[in-house]
Amino acid sequence: MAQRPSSFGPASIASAMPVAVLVASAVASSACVTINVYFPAAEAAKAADKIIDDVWGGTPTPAAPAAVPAERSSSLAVRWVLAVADFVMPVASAAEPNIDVTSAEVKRLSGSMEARFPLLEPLLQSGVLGLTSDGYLAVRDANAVALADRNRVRSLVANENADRAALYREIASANHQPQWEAQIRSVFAARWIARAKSGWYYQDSSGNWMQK
Amino acid sequence: MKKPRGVAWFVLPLMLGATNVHAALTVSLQVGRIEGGALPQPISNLRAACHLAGRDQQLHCEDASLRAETGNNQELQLSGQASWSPRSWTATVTQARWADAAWSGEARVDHQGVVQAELQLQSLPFEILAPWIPADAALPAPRGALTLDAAYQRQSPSRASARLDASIHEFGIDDAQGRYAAERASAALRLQAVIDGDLINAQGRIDAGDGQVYVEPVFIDLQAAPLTTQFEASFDRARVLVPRFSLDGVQQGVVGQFHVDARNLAWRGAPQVSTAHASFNEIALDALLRLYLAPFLAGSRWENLSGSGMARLDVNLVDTRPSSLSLNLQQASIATGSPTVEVLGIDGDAYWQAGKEQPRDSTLSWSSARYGDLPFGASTLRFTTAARDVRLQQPWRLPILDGALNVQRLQLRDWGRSDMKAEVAAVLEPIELATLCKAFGWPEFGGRLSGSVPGVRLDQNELSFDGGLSAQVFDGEITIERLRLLDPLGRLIKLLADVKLRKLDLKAITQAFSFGRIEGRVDGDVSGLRVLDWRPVAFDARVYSSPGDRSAHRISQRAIDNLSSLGGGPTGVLSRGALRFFDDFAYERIGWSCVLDNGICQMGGLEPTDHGGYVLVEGRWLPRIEVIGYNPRVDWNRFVEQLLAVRNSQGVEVR
Repeated sequence: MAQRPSSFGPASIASAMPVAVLVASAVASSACVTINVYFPAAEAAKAADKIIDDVWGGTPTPAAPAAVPAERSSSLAVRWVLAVADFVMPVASAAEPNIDVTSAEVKRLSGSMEARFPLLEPLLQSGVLGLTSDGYLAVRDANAVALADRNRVRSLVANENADRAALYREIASANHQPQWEAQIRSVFAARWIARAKSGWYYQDSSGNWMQK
Repeated sequence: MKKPRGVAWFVLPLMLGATNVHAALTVSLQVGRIEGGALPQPISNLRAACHLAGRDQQLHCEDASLRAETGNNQELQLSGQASWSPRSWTATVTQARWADAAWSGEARVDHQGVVQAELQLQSLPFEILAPWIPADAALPAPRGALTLDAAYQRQSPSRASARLDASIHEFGIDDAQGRYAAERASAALRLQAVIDGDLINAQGRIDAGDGQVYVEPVFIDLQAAPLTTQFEASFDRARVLVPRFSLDGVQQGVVGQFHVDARNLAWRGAPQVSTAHASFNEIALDALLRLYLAPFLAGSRWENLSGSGMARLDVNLVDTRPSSLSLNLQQASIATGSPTVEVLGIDGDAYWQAGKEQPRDSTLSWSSARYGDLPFGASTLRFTTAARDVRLQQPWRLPILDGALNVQRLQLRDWGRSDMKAEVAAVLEPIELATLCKAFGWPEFGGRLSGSVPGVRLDQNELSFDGGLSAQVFDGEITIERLRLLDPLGRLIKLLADVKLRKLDLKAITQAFSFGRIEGRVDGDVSGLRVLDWRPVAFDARVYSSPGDRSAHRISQRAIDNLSSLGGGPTGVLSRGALRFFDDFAYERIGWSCVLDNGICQMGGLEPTDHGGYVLVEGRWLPRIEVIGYNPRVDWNRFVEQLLAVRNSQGVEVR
């Protein structure tokens, strides 16, 4: 989490002080306020959908749930100070955090995945491959592939997964929050599955293969 | 109902009959159903009969026949004879059929207790074995057929010998996960074994020359690369280990000859060996890389690794761990794609050892190499490798075009670990830029590239260079500082650097790029340069007339035109009216800036104008020309395309 309790230290003590002091200390601490105090799951889902559209050739399917519960800080004091900070700070800088997926690295990776998709699609459709619950692809039924072709499928999956791993990492670092990598991956995992076409296989949370 | 193990259940109706025909006694037996015990599947409708006769103090069972049905409605038919006396017995099956397979065999026990048995089997389908495979073993069901000829002789309770000639046809198997499989494979096995107390000595030969085998991730087409092996092994039943094992073989087109020698092989949850030596001679590198190495590199930059030439490999293991390795290459070449890395004509020996003490010197030389479009000359590398450390043993000179990279020191520690460390000291002997440009297909321009790398650090997957590279170009100097490579072996090679341009001669630049003519000198600062797969994706750049420059500042009509068209403005404006009489114009200062991010270049000039534009060229004297840009945001890729188009065009006509 990007929460930085130490940034709010002086302000949270201020909760018992007169309003004027409080505003002053909020202004003083506003220099330390990171915009992305919580992981913006809803924005991440939207960003994931945008990339999935690019890679899979967007067919409008159920959009990301509008109200994904954000992982807000549980500390009341922190949240209250945040509200004060919102009031004091210019609106733009404290606005809804956004997940930027326009960096050159992200584009390069999604472009490479898009170019690979025509080779993966028939394998997903026939159930040879499936979507895993942790945001990757896996060979679900290797026996449906002729022996001589098995390594070609393995290489496709390995390259796709290497791109995906790099994509999750690059999105996190492009947003200056490298520690979000795992959360971004899990948002993507859910969105890949939600956007999968009918007949494709995916893994549920306990690792069982299910068909859409 | 729990069935007792080891005893067959006899289920009635059971009928026993005896008829006395021609002085012999015909005995017949009918059993409705037998199941349970050691039988994997029930036997039903069993009918057996034979003529009993007493002769030569032996009881003979002649013209014996047996018919029964086994589990999958397979009919079992048997005919033969048997004889019995209190001290010996013989049983012969002259003809039998079961599950489409023909059987015959004989078993004999003589009065000294010597047991002899023979069995011939023709085309037994493997499917018939399925019921014998325990369900909880999760073993896949094999396909194909088995033909065998086996003999067994037991001289005494502790001494016996066996011989087996077996062949499998059209063998197929698939495990549930598809990690190993065989398809239409054929192989022949010849085995001879002598059992002497607890020790079994065996030798044999396997020929596999048809079908396909997949053991993830290795796929072998046995028809294209047939495998022949001969082996000798002993097995100690009391200690459950193989004191000696040796194997010789050939895989056609891959390994001319290989030999494996192992001592004290055992299985204690995982394979263990006290010492082992394996040597592979006459390795055809192309087949070895394609079949056995490249599949392990799937998903990495090296997955398209290919090669040619011959190699020899020796591997030693001590206590199950690799202890040393030696590789000899002869006229070998290796190549991998995107960007193309190629090393041709490699000769030499490379050694590796697990212990760090006194490593053997390795020497590899090659005739030429290439990285992308950059060619390298012949070179020899002397180094040692031990454990995870690599160290250069003598300075290494790698010719690059007409210059060279001189590496004085190179040391890698903990190779392959996340905290691996690298130490490098290298100097670049000057390279003529004209030859470099030619190699890359760039417009040719003069100058020399040189530099020194006093240190390279590899930390957290980041390769950073102490010191800078400098190039004497266009009569000025370009220095590259704070050069860092992120994830150099990963998915995206990212390069970060700061670049400084000092006193570059604009006349030489504009001539090299056919941009018209601008005279004067420029400085430039590029900070935060980020290059992805060798293309810039971000920087903050500023190019401006060198402070204190006293050279002539002149700009030609064509250069002004090109500047104007780059900015989307009109061309040929100056060639109309009175200005057409001037070839060029004097200017005071020139300046351009670009902040590239996300494919958009935020442009600026010397200073902003009142109308939202920016001054690119500030005029001087009369006629005073000012070039003002109005487009603050420019698509970088389009801008580069236009820039190249300017170079390729014949230029604007100046009259």
